[in-house]
Amino acid sequence: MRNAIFVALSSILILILANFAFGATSEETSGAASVTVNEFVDITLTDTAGGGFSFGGLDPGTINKNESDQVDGLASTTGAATVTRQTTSNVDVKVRLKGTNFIVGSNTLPITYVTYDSDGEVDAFPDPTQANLTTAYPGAAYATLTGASPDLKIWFWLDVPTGQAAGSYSSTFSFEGKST
Amino acid sequence: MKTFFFFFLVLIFLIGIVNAQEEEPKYNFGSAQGAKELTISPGSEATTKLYFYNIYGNRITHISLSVAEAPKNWDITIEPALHETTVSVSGVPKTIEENLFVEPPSDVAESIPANIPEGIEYISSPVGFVGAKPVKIKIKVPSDEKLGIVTNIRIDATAAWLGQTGTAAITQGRSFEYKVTVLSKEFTETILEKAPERKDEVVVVKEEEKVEEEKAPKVAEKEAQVGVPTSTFVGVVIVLLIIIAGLFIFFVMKKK
Repeated sequence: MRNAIFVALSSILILILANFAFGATSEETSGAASVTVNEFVDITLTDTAGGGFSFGGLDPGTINKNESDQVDGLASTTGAATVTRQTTSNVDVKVRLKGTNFIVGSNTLPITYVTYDSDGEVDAFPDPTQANLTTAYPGAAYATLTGASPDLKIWFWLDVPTGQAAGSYSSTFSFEGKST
Repeated sequence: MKTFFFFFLVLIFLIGIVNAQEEEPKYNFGSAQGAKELTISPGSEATTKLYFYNIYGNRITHISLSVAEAPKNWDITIEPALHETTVSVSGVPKTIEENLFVEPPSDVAESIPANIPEGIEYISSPVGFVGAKPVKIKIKVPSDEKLGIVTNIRIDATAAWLGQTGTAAITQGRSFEYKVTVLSKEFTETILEKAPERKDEVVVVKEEEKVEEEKAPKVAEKEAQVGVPTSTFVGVVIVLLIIIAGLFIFFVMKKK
């Protein structure tokens, strides 16, 4: 009986020692790991009343003519368009605006005569806070849309210089939504 | 009663049509970009994808893509390529140039459906699996391109919507940037120079010491060649101890 217990204990001891031996000879290795999460940017432009942006028939020398569908005034909530960062987006979105010059035939009305703002208050001319549209996106973002603040309302105004040739001009306004 | 019920249904139908027509246009432009950093070897081609979807819009989004920034001698192709599409807008046919269009609403599902329409891929998004249209961006690096250079590639996308009658049409723009590193296919590592601190030291030594110093690295190399890792050494010692313990037990058993 004693012999059996002795042999059993010895076997356990040998197993423990063997375990240490194997443990001591094992090596720890590490490898590089990487993962890429897709970047989702999802922007909806809601055009108030639809049809694009219109300023109606204007006389030369007109200042701060509002886009036809927007309602001016500081308390107004009806802009020409609303830019919305949708919940599909997983990044904050920088918004910038640009436009092409108004053209009809060989006549041009520079796009810089269009100003825009995130409120409906019409500022005194020359405009101190309304930004001018340009043919290229400005360096800085006009606004950043986040999950907590996903909407941006935009109001547009157009000035027509005196001496501007008559005609039905057309342009394109572009909104860029890009990850920050 | 039947006539009244019929007129009631017609009325609801007409109200529905009027409401649908009066709904404000929603110009939706959704995109997903995978890897922004790519590694390509000279003479090789890498393909990456952009995905476009239109979940929240109520107009078809027409998308055109162009390579805005890339090294001159690199070959960048976009699939599907820019092509002409004829569309009927309120009954009037119109031809436009685009790479693809995305009709609303793009499908959003809890899991990838069994039957996926042709030309659609389901991608995992923050709102579920979105049925999106893929665009392949193929980047081919010339075989004589210098190893180690890092360059930027930018793809510009413009989303447009038809049927706008105003003075100014609305579009959306978005750019997709990639940082491409040119590396060799096969991994090699060669130390080109030692740590710089020794270069700056000016130490005057006698000829005998100089000889010893020159020999020293060779000795180190030999040591490195025959050296055994500490863990292996410990393992061998433990195995020897096990053998000794086994022999000890064997002899004790034999005596008894």
